[in-house]
Amino acid sequence: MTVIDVNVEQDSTVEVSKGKNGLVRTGGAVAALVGVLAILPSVLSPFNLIFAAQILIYATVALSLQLLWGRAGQLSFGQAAFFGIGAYSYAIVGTRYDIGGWLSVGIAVAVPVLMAFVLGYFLFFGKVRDAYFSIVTLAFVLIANQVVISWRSVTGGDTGLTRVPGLVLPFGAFSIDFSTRNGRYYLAATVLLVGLLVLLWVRSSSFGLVLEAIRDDENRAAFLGYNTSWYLTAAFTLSAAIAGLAGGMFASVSTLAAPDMLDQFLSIQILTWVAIGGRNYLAGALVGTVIMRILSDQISSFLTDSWPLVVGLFFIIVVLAFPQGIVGELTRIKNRNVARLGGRRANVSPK
Amino acid sequence: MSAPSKTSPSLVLESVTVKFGGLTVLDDLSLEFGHSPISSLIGPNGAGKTTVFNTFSGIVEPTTGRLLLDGEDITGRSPIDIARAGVVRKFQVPTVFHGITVADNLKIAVDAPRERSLRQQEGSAQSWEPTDVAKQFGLMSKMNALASELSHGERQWLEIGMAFLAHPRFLLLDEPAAGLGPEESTHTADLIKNISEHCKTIVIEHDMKFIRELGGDVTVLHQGQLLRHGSMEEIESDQVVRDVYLGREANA
Repeated sequence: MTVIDVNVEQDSTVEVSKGKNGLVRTGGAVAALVGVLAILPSVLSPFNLIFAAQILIYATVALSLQLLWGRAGQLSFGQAAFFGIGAYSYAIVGTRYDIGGWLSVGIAVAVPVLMAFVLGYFLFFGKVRDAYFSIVTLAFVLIANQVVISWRSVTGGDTGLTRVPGLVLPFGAFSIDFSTRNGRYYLAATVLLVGLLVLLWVRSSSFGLVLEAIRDDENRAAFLGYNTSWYLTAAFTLSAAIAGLAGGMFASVSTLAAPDMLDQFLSIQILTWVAIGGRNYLAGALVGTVIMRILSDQISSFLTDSWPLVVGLFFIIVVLAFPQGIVGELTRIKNRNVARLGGRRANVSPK
Repeated sequence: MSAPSKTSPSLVLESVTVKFGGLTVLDDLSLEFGHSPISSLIGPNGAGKTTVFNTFSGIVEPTTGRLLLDGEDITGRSPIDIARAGVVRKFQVPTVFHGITVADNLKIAVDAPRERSLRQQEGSAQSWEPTDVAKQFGLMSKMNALASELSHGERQWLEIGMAFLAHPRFLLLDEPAAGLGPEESTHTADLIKNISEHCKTIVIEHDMKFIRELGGDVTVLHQGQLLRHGSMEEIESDQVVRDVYLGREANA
């Protein structure tokens, strides 16, 4: 990262996420998140702990969509496809071939990565972008869902695969058992942190910067010499890797793989979490997922069938009121206050 | 592949014809740039000026004819490959990355991938850093601002600065003074003159005063063909040019 060594008055609307201050603040935010994650097992009931574990994994998928939609500007309706393919890959090798440990994690990532690379390569090098890209990804999740439901001998059809084994990861001489109740929660928390750290790296890297440039104006980036199709293919593949990891671990935590982990309804839900939280922010994906999952759960407990209507209405209201999402709105308010305070301070003590 | 020569670089259209459907936009046109640090391309609307740039940057492939960079045939190469070979352009409408900071815009430009021969041929233009360009272009106080917060003029300068940072051998500037006030326009001409000491610069402009300020040689296109080539004084005193182009402006 280029360090610009000049003293300039801080502009009011700029997100200051770069440089030394940004690093300290990001580190602080991650440390706070780790703290909260560490406390949850001692305050939540066993039932709620598994619910929390599922939310953390859903938040990881939301983060993976934020990379593609917020940073690279390509809205995918296919996120649940890679999530579900990860879940089924893990479940199939676990239940049918008795494969576990690191290999099963690797397979849960590798299968969606391979599919995303092939699909992404042909889409992006075929100049498919924006709305057309979204439509193709929607078709992809519909097809994948149909395959999962029809291919009974392998996927278990409508009922899916049950009694999926939990995960035990060997580390040299000893191993960590992620199949216990608390273990499953810690697995989910680890998945979230791994996904978050990868995406924080992307945010600070020149790869991430070029993705933002492509989002803003792909032609300008290409005419500077950047092979934008490769960048988008890479973003799509990385996004699928994180979604697949999340899906595989979701199967492990929930001990099952079912068609509703791989359908357009889940894809659209992921999209609403990111939009409500704020698609331009990693924190937005986290906040949006937590709020929407808890809200959906609460509403569905008394509106068993019609809860999606209420959640959908809530989504429309939030997006109309705060087009930049909750985190976007909070950032705007904070920047405005900083600007006001900064101005006052400047008046009190002029240089 | 020919090694990059130490002699003056050259960018050449060789008998290029470009047809869009039945319409001939460039008509057996041969042009050579590189002798003068600054060259201006003028001509009435529809003369084919922007099509010349589009051909140089690989957007438009010639129907017939060849495109040569330092003697090497680059006809049919993709815009990305041509940019990597060192032909970088600024668009007619200022085109910057609006959602990221000015500093990041410049960083992306200076980090742009280049052919190895161009990296090795480290001339004076190659050693420029984003801060040098920001100082030159008066963008230093805006480094942490989003590009979307810049004024129109600042955006023009940012895009010129970006194109300059991207290790160009040839810099193609399409209407760099469009929409600028007289003072901004003069400032822009000075900037381009400074730049042209480091890389060959080709400018499309309508503003005759701006081209006079730039100096350098002038190429006049008319209906896809070369009408005249010479210094600004020669061009301005040329009766044919006055008739097809300048006269119309004088009468207006």
